[in-house]
Amino acid sequence: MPGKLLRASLTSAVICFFLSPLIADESIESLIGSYAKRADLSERTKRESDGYLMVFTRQDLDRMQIRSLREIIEKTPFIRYNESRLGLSASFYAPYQPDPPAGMRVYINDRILYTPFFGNALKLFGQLDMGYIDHVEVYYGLPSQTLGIDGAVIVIKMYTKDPERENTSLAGLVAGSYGSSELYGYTTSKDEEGSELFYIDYKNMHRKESRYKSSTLSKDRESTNFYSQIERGRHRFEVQAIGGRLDTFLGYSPHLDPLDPHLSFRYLFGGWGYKNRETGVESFLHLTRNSSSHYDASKTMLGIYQSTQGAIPFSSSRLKIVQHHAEAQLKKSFASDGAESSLGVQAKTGRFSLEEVYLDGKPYDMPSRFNRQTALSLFAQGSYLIDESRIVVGSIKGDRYLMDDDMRDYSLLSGRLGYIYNGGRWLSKSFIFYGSFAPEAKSLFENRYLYRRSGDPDAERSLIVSTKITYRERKHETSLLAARYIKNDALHFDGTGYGNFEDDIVIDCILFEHIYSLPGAGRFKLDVWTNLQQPHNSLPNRNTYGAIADYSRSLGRFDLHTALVYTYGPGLKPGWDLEGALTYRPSHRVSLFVKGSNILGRALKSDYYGIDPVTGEVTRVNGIDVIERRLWTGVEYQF
Amino acid sequence: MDRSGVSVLKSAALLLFLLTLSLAGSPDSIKAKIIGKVATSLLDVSVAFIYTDDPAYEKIFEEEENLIETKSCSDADMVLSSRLEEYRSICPPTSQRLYFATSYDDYLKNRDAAVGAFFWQKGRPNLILNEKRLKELKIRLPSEFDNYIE
Repeated sequence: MPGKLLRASLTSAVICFFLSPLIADESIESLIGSYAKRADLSERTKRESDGYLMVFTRQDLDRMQIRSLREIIEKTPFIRYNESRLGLSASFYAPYQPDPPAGMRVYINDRILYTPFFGNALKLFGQLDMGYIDHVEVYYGLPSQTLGIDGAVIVIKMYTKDPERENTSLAGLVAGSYGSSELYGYTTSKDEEGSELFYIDYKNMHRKESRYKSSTLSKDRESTNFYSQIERGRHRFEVQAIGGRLDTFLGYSPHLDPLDPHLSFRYLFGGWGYKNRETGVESFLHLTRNSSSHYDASKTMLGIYQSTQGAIPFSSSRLKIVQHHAEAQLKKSFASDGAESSLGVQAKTGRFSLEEVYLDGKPYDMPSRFNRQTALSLFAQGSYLIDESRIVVGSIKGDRYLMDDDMRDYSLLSGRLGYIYNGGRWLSKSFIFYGSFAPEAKSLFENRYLYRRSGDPDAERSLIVSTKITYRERKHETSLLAARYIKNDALHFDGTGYGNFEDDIVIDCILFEHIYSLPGAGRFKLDVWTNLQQPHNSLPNRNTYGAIADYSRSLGRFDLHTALVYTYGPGLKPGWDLEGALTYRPSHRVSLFVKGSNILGRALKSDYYGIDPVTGEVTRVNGIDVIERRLWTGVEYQF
Repeated sequence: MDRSGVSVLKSAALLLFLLTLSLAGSPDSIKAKIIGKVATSLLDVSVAFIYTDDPAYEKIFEEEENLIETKSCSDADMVLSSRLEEYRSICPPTSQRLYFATSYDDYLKNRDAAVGAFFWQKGRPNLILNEKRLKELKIRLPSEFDNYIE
């Protein structure tokens, strides 16, 4: 019993440690707004010590009428939302370069969105619907492994809707520019035995087409998403099934003259989770199967392959890949005088197989014995409340990655130390992080079997030192964050395969943030940020600047949100994305909304290029919209 | 550390918990303020006597100066429950004893008697005030409640 009392006391102390008065006035509208916000933030405050956090609460997502994760990413400091040449979400996309191993990780509840071959599954989930998501937490600066032990510079945690707070069944219909449409519905229930959530969505997303060399460049996509969650006591079961088809924009065409490249995919997930708050034991098992079939074709040449007759060009390909992923974790938490800690072990294994490879309609035997990777991780973390105004936190993790075939195995180590001070109006957080990260299987595979390299790249290592100071006074909160990010042995493509940069990459990051709280849980928020990347490896400095002004509030039966996102990067025309959403609830059962994105038509655009594998000739297409000028309108009805 | 040291630390942690909780304005304390404001406005009194059997409202009114929680529904100005039908025979609704639901389903079942409801739905707290019942009871509310009457 004393243990429980202490745990409750410590948890509450940590929660309250970060709370500041939010109640601006005592009108009923303001009280209800404050109650909604405080109830939403109660989970957030538990996690403040895990890193630098930005939360999109349930109310925020409603007001913003968020339709997909990419809209969240666009509002995240230090990165820009971008898409690959296949039209897939890829915030760190650079032509021909691999995804940074520590770039971004996305979770739904405890599940990492991951595929064994391609790594980060943001590519799949970035543009999918989010109607089953309750709130989103965005952590930057390699946060604590309490969020998930696969760390990254940006960690996005999405949490599914809470049946107790939803307590409804509803259906919604959305229509938008270019003939887009979406139909969705969900039902929730809760009783003494447990709770359930069932959700389904059909989305037919038409996007602005471009034309180049008489080829149509399309990023249209169609998907169906089913998600269910059943909780019984300490157990939670989840099932998700997603299927869809998408046009893959430029495909891999080196001359940027694709012929209807497209991809079909199916994603199946089943998960079990267990949490016992009294004993501090948590566990989960996640199983995922992902299959995708990609057809690619080019008017001229798509690529070349080596045969006994030498290099032979081909103009179309069909590739089917099936990936299985399983991960299991066991964690035990402890609480003692002034301290909380946990120890855990996680195992995961991924298998991938190229089931069909056709070049110009003929089967091609891909010579690979590499089709599995397994990782075992041990981790420990802790926090210690020195007194009512100071906390220290620390964590350490070791991973052993085992690759089959004769691929190299990786031993990885990461750790983090932090100090947090809360002096009432003044709050400061400082963290130092070190970690090493293995390349994704795709890079290792291509290095060995496509580029015929005998060696594998080294693990990439990251060191981040950061501090953030916040001043709060009733309705105002002002913060300044500064960080230095040093990457050693950064993974890159050098034209003949994947290797490591010799020089370190040093990036200085600065973020200024001001939040002004408005009645009815509204707010005005301004973020101004910059990434200053120093010259390295004969590459010039690369500085990126951004600003986000965001206003949202509720007024009676109306919700209002508007945001202006500014981004400037080297070699790009500065982008301004003005968006706005207005929601009206004429009755308790019905709500209507209208939303516009890229209203000015001046959001940041992307440039792409292809390289002829024989002549080295470069073909470019510039000024492609990543965030289209778009209007949505929709209705929701509660039964 | 000896037992006395552990005891001091436990006391300190508990004190910290109580101190920070009272300063913070927890969701429960705001919920209590909302119920207090609604109850006193409906009853046109400065202090209302309230009875509840809903575990979600257990002990949250202790710090709310406009509300006094009663142990029996018969002593209450307002019955706050998600099972209002159970009180119809023992504490029937009158103009001196208002029914207020804490679930939408219960509100719909007892719409003839409930003057309103406060509940979570679609991820947000909802306040509904029953226009028909307000008219029957000749209750006039301040204009700040207009958006919640339906």
